[in-house]
Amino acid sequence: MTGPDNEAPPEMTPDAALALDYAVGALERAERRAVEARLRSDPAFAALVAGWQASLAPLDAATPAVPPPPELWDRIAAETAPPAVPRPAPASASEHQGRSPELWVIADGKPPASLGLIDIDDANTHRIPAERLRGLKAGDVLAISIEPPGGSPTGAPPGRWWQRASSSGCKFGLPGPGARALPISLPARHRQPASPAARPVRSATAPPLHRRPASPARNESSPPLRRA
Amino acid sequence: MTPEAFRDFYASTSAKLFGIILRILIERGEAEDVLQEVYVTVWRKASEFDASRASPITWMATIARNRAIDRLRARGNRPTLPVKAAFDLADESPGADVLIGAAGDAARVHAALALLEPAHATAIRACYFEGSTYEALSQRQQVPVGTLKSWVRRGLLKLREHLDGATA
Repeated sequence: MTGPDNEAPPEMTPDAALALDYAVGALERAERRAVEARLRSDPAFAALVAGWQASLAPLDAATPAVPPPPELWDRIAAETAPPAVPRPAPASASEHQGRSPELWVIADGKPPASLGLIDIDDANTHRIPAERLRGLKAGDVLAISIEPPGGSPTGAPPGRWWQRASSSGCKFGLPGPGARALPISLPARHRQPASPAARPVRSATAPPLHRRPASPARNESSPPLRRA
Repeated sequence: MTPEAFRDFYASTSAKLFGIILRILIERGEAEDVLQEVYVTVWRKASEFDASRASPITWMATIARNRAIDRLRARGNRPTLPVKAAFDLADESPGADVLIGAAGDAARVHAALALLEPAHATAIRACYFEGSTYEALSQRQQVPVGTLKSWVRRGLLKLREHLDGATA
């Protein structure tokens, strides 16, 4: 029988044995807390633990999978939902009847540049072809203004913004390397029935940031990002 | 990670993690709470994940196991199966799902455990799959704590050789 000081195999250091004990899950609560405190300050010890965790991972294959109840996803989705985008200049939908939302990008320190009008007739989703987004970086700010039909008459950015969001935020997702378009979702209250008056036509006077026309190109290859 | 990617990730990994958590906690409501905690943590800490050190599922399984064990230790006891039943469970032989090849990894694990001294394998199963402490297992099996530690450590060194050898 081995004594208390003789429990580790000869090829194991006390640290290696402790790393194993933690990884296999055999320690009491106070011992676990002590190990976890050490993990944060001792990279060599943390590497020992990570090594054992990786070695033991195949054991998980021997544990049968059990599907969780479907409603559990709803709880997780609710807790991880993107935060609501602040609305600095709230306006009622009726105020916007017959007007056109225009999308802008505000890159680091530069004046806002128009990305064109947003089609609100069809669905609550607007897509911008990826080539028009070239140069857009995480951290750039996307903003929406409410303009007369056709867009900002002067081509200049508006005095007030209706909505703003960082492009690294959840509401506006930057397209990944393989994506061909940036999906943007509009608040449900801003959806309008189709009407010829509201059909967006890009203002000829708006500054052309990109050469492509502003009419939204729908990209069916990737699903639109919808509001939860 | 986009919300869509997160949802897909949940769909493909949650049953595995729930199985791990449930085996440790046994009580379903508690296991569901822990599973929720794990995914919320992962959503918030996705940027801390180091792909060079572990696969996503291994990383998540480690978080799930740790959270389940923390919950078990906070509870103080395991509402459980009597000792005999627990050991019947620990000594389980490969199930049908293991033998049909779809679960090749599981079969490999059972085979590697079968190569160990039976007492070592039983102690490892009780710790890893059920979250048992050395102390609790020592009382359950009427074996000194030092002996149990020695069994688990020696057994795991051997097991690692078998598993690493099998993947090499």
